[in-house]
Amino acid sequence: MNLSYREALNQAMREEMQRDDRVFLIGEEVGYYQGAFKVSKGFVEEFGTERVRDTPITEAGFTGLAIGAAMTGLRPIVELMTFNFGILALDQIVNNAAKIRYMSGGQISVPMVIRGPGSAAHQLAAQHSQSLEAWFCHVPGLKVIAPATPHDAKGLLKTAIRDDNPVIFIEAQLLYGTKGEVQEGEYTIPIGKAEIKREGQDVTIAAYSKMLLLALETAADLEQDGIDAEVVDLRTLKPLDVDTLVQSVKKTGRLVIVEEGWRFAGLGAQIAESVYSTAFDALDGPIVRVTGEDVPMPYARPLEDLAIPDRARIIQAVKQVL
Amino acid sequence: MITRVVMPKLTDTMEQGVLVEWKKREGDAIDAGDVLAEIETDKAVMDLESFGSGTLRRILASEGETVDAGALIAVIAEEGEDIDAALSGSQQFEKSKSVKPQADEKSQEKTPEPQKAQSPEKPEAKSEENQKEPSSDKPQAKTSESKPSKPAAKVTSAEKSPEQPGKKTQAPAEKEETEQSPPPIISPRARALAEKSEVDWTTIRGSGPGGRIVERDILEALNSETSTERKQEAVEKPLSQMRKAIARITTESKGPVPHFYLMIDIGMREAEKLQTQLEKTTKKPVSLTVLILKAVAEALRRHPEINVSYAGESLRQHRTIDIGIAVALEDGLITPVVRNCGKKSIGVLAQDMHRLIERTKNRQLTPEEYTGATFSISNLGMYDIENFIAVLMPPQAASLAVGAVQTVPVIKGRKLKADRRMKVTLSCDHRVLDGAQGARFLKTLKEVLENPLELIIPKQ
Repeated sequence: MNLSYREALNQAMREEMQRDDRVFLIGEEVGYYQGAFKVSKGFVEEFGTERVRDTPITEAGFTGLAIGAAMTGLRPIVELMTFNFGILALDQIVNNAAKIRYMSGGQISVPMVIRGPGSAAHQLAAQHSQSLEAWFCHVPGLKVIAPATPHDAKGLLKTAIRDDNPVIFIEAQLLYGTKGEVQEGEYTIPIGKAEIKREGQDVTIAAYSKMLLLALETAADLEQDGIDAEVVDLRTLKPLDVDTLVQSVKKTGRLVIVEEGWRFAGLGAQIAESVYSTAFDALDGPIVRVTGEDVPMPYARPLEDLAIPDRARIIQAVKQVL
Repeated sequence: MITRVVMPKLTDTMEQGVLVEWKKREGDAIDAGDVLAEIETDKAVMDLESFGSGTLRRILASEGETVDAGALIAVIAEEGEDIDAALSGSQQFEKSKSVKPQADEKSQEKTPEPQKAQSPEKPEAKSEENQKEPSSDKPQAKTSESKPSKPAAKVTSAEKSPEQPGKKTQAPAEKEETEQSPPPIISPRARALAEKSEVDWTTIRGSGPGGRIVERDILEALNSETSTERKQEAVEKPLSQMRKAIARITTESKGPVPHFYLMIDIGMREAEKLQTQLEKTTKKPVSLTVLILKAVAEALRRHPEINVSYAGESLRQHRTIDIGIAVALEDGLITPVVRNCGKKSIGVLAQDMHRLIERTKNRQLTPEEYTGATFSISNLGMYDIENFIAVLMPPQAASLAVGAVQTVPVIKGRKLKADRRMKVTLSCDHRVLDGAQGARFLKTLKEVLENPLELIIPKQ
């Protein structure tokens, strides 16, 4: 069936809440307003206010509350209106969610999902356009997922909800309206598995979330120039599926990594290192990264466009290594 | 003490130097700092100063000679000292040298420092062997180049000393290619492949960004290696334009176009009868090729699926049947095109064909007359070729190779009879045609030629 990314998330949560009454949704405007981006449409009607909890604007508070609920046996889904606001909850996420299992000697686990959109939409300015996935990936004890398609979003969100550990699930405002074929019926997608979204011989382009769609469009452009690009959708950022990447690089000999986040200490730096250390002899050229610029996101549209990877820059990067 | 004097590497790009003039003669006494000779680099003429003292015992390069940087050009030693080792023992010398590369490399960065060579920091490699070796390697240290160029091994033709063993043997070959260029950069992938397939990548010119040797360069080297190994005596003749065109077209065809071939045997007795009758009636010679041309046109009319081209994203169905007839020339081959064959009678086809062949032989063809065929026929029957297969000429999807009509025994019923038979081979582009389509076309062709009245009164 053809669903929007938003509808796929809605289905995933609905199915899991129907399946397991320990699962509940908490966050700002998730109830009567149906979600800031309408992801929880119809939830309060179906599950009631007990399981669909509207909160005040208190990210640290409700995230901490959810962590406590998870420790006592519930399976909360925390919706952050955006991950920019999640910065307020960072102490709870980093110091509690990620560490309780370790520090309790495995006695207490924190089965929860913290989800919401990351990355830039259009002209939301510096404070609301950030791609912070590298921050979360840096913390031991967190799993980080950033699916690009409705099918992957649904399958991975269901898996994340069933996972006994805290999972950071990063969506994107510009993905909510995108549509795609979603498998009928019950299915899940394992965490930690990348997927080759387009097969090719000449160069591997690795991307995730919104940038994956850009990579696929660019691959179509490159085809016009006779360049056969393979596009790997990482899907899970941590644990990273190095095997799939390395298999692809062994075939093509070249890797271009596309990410929207800031360049310095960005996720691509880690991906490149993982590939260099396992597949150095398969490389026919240096790994090239296409990233967001190391600046606060400009508000002005032309400047914003310059700060985010685009097709021209990916094409340039690909041609640079061929 | 023995001092080996080598051609110094005075600039980064210098690979060779010309020994302009010796300032000292054999037997002259030498003090360190004396000018031994004038050296012409690729930039200037410079003095070559001695680092050692003693007597100039031997001069190994004559004036005016071009010498590789690092090659031994003279030996300085005490009167009566045994210099054989320094002259011929470059082998030992090489060995000891190769174990202490860092020291050499550092020293060559800057202008040579004579003391450096003597200084005690000199290599761990000051091995026993090296100590036994009576020569001083000062000039070596001063001038030797980075590893790939293997300086001391690069001895010019004048140098009589034996070539170094082992790895060094490739030095002369790589010398020419790497001339003037820094050591090549190679990607890890290419290096891994080169090592696995034992390709000497130091001689390869990289095609990657910044001249990096990448996988494709190694693959290319692997392909060409076999051909360069055996160079036979031959004379190079420039290709004619026609030969170039043939080379290009056939390569573009045979390489990328997936050919397949279908052969069929056709009884030609009836066709030959018709040929005789036509000649009688028209009182003109009628070639069998015209009948085959007509038959092919007729078969194409009934099987338009053969009259197509592969056009990337689409299959191009041609509206007209334009058949190229391969005509052999002294120095090549050209294929004039008979237009719209589907709508022409044998008579008109014969006229068209003979006019085109005439113009071909007189080299009067205009490009319009030999391009745009949708099918072609190549007949080598006149050379008694029994059967052959043709290379497609893109974008044509099919082409017919026609052999000689021969008298052969055939079994009809239970009897052995002599028959006139001809073998033809259809080459097809598998991207747009399949075996069964080609087979049906050939079946029709056979049918038409064996019942040649259909050439005159086509079946509806």
